[in-house]
Amino acid sequence: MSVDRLEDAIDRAVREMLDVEPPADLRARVMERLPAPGSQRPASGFRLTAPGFRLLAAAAAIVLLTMVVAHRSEPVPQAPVVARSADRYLAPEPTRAVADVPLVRTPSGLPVTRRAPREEHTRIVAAAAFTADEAGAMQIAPLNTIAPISIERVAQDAIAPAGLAVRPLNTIADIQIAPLTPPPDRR
Amino acid sequence: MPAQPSIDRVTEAVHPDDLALVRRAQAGDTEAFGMLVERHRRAVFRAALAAVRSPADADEVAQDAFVTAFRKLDGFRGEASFKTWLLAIAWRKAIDRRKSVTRWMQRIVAPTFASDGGAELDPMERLAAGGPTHEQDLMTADLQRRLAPLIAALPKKLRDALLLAGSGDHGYDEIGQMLGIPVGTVKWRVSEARRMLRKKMTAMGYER
Repeated sequence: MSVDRLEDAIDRAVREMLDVEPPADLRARVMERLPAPGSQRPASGFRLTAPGFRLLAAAAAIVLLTMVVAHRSEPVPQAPVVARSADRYLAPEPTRAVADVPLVRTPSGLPVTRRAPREEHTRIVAAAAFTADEAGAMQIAPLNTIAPISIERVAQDAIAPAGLAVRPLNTIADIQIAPLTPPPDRR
Repeated sequence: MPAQPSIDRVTEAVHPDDLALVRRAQAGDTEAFGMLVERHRRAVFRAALAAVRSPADADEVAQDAFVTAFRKLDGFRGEASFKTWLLAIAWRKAIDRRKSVTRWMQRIVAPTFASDGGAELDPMERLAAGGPTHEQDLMTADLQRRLAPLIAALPKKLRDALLLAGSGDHGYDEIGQMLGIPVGTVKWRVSEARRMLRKKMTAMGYER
């Protein structure tokens, strides 16, 4: 089968797959769904009706209220406990430290400009306190004495190496080399 | 002596162009929009059919597309042709429809392409028109019967381009604007679809 024939078959197949006429009443059905002449053509997008607006406003109010309540009921961060006495505990007082706002002066003495104030932050300092009575009543046992440690002196032994005996080397006998004689066939 | 109306003006009055009809429809003339529907219903329906494969679905898509186009008519600025603008709306609707899982399942269970039961031509008419012989007819029919499922099984992007281009209703420019891709990409997709089909047919024994 030639390429042209195959190409032609593809074209035919595609055309046949789409060879369906739209229904004759398509226009009529579309026109039925359009607003009648003279009436206002609906704008694109959605139109908010009065009940819809009321519903939307109520939903927005509920969301806002929920957010406010959630914000108010957020748990206050507790200061960490760093020390405890028997039954007295002084709650830590937050101390507020405000960073200095430095002033910048220009060398020429022109108007002073102020930088943006740094962020104010709070530090929590925890502390414990004892009354004088509590301090006096506390008994601290004396420390045990430690017996002195005796260490023996390190003894130094003399090391006497054993005598080393070296055996004399064997004498090497003279090597006798016989003169080479050429093989008989090389003559 | 009063000036005679030009031929163009007379033609315009009898067959107003799309833009004139759009302007009238924008002013609230639904009858003008009805003329636009009549003029483009075939192209819109076939574009939808290329995407959704079912004539019933394509009919619904076409209907929705026309109603949506009427609602959005104020947004039509005339930068592209009305037909291209309308086809882009129809294509988006068709793709939305195709994405529906339910529709997919229905389609898998009962494929409803036209090739499964297309209208038969009268054999006498074919003979009079100098059509192919009976043997050729059988071969072609067999080939097309085998091609239809292969086309349906192509990757969607390739199949869409092939069907839209093969319908004869749309130019490459129009298809490019409908699909939102450059014309070169449309041409490549059509060519690639054909190459894949040729390869499959060759593998099936239809030697080149």
